Amino acid sequence: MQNVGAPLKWRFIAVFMVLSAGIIAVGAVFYARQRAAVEAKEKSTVFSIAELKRTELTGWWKERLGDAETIFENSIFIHQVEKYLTDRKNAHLRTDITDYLNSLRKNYDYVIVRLLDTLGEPVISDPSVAYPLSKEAKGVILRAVNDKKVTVSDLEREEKENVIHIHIAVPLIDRHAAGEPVKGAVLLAVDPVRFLFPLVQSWPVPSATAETLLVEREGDEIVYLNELRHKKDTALKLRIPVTTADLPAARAVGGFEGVMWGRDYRGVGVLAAVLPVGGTPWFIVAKIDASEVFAPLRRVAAGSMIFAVLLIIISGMSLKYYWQKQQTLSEEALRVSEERYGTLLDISPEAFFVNRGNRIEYVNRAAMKLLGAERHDDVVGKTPFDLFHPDYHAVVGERIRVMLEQGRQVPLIEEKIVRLDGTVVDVEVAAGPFTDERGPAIMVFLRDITDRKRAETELRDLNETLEKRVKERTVELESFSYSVSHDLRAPLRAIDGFSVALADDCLGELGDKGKEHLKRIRRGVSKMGGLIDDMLTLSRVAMAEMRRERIDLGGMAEEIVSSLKETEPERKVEFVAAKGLTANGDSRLIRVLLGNLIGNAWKFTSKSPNARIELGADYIEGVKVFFVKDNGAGFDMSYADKLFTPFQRLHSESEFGGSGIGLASARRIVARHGGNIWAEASPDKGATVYFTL
Amino acid sequence: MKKKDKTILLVEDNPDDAELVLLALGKLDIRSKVITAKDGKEACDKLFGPKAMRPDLVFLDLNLPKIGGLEVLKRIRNDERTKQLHVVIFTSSVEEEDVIKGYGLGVNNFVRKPIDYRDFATVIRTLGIYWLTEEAVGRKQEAGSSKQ
Repeated sequence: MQNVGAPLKWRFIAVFMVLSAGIIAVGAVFYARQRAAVEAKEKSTVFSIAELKRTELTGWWKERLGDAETIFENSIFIHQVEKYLTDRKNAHLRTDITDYLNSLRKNYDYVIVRLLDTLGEPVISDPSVAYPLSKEAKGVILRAVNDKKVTVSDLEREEKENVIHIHIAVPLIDRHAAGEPVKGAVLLAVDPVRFLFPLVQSWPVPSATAETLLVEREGDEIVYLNELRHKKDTALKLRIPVTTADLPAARAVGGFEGVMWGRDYRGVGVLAAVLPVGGTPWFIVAKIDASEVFAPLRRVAAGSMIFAVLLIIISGMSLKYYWQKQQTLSEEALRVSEERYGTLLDISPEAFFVNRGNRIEYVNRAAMKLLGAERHDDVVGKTPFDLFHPDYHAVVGERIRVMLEQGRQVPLIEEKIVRLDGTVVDVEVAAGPFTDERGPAIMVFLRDITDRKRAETELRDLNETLEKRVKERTVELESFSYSVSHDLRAPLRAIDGFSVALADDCLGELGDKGKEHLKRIRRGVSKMGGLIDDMLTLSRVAMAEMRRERIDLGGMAEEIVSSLKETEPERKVEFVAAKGLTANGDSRLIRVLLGNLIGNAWKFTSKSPNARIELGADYIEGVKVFFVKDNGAGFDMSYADKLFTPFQRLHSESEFGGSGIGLASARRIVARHGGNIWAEASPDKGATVYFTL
Repeated sequence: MKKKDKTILLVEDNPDDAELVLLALGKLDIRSKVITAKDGKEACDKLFGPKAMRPDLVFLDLNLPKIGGLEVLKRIRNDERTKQLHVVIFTSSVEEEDVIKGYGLGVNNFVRKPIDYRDFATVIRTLGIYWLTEEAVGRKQEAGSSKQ
């Protein structure tokens, strides 16, 4: 029973695999969608933050520039400065200006505010500082004075002091007197650390890795402008080549705007939103580590994996359970059916055995009985060759081979088996191959045909006996007719002979009357002789062995006619035979037939002046019909049924001689050839005899 | 030509038939002597026994008691002394088998006895003339050469 479930087992396993694959697929899809959702959300967040920062930055700049413009447009202040710069001893003015600068610094949150003279030298500083202007600061001032515009510097690191400032230089000019030279300048110094950097670096939501940073391009380098979260001491110090692949900052300076996946200055994978800060050479990068982006996903992934595994296990277990149930069910069913049919086969009246690997594996009761076995073991284990008679071993071997190799049944044949007690039995054997869980085997049905064979033999013997008897009878009859004709003729000969002798030797004593009597005697003898010949012919016709061959009827008829002509040369008879008349029949019998018919025609035209006899053939309804036609005396059709009866005559003896046996013979001959014979005639118009062969 | 007495051996079991043959031969113009044997054995004695005769013509019936006509013919043809004899089978019924056998054994003529006496007599006379006249000598030699 093990192998019954094998193909089914594979089906279950297949279902399980499919189910698992499905679960995994669903899980994967779910995970992917979650991931995508998270990603999308984070991208949006990051981008929003970048945009927010940008807006804030832009706003901040606007403010600063606004501050500067205010100063630039402050005519009162400018006049005061003009006055002071020409009169530096005016303490009152100085105090006012200092107060103004101070208020600027405090309220607008500048680190240092300086008033510069027309040469760009600091005159008043708030707070009062000792250190001189840096090169960069001076540069800005110069530019502002030249352009007569508020000018802004970039973030600069003042090396000596280790601080970073942005300078805004406001040239002080009389706006209504544009051609006049600059009266002075105000330099505002912004400490980005105080306000700018925090603005940039803050992240609206708590995050482990996220940061915003500011970069700008210097040549083929990217300069990081603010302090970075993950690296210390980087402001204006960290420089990375612009060609660094995947660096969001690099892509930013390259003109990319938007969200991207890349590697930051640490080489760590990040999701970055990148935007240019309009009006400045700066670019803002809001980034968050990829690991943080997908951190929540980890939980989801773990959760769904566990769930999927659980599902798979459950489905596996339920499938297994179901399969086992199936197994037991089918085993049950199989067992029941085996029992049922096993029993049926065992008690079946047809002898049956199973040959597996040339060993008898199973034999039913009928087979045991046939073989004369009392116990199963008497037969089980033997080879089929032990059962079959050696004469048939070759055949059996061949049949087994054919069945196993070609997987088809072999035809029903007769063989002989040898019972356990050694007796030989004729059997009919039906066999066919089959395969079950134990492999290929052959089933064989045997049927005892002893009775049938006996009947066949008896029948054959009976047939032989009958045939022999028939032959004997025929021979007897033949010799009978032979001896009859022979023995009958002799006395006739004697009668005739001695009548003649009497006439010759005793002529005188007899007289005319005596001679007349003798004539009548002789006539009687002649008649009898004819009758005997006819009877002999008829009997021969009835009994002789037929041998069919191709016969030229025309030729045969010609011979018959010419011999008739020889006997009566004075008669003028026209004989016409159709050309190419051939038939298939016994040559001797056909000769007798034609002899009869033509002889009749000859006889019955003896009184006709222009006698004509014709032999021909016609096709009537597709059948070839021969005929012998004459234009002689004919006969009355109303007597036609007597025509072919032996010894029946339709004309008196005086008109036409004949014994009346000719047509009976003809009919016998035609019948033996399987044909028909009939005649048509009318008195004095002639007769036609038709026959088929 | 000297007319010698011819001898005819008539092998016939039926006395009537024998008588009729004698009557017919009596009408023949040839002087002949007829010896009768009434069965095959007597015929063989007359031909092969002591005082064996050499007939000029043998009329042989087939249906003979003791030894049958065809057997007699066989012996005649197998014996050097009688090989060349003229033999005519003169029999009542003509079975094709017998005809074939007869000619196979070398009979000179195979004739059916007619019932009609006129025909009977004619046949006897024709055969007699044919085989007994001097021309028969030539025929004898012919027959000899054609005998196998």
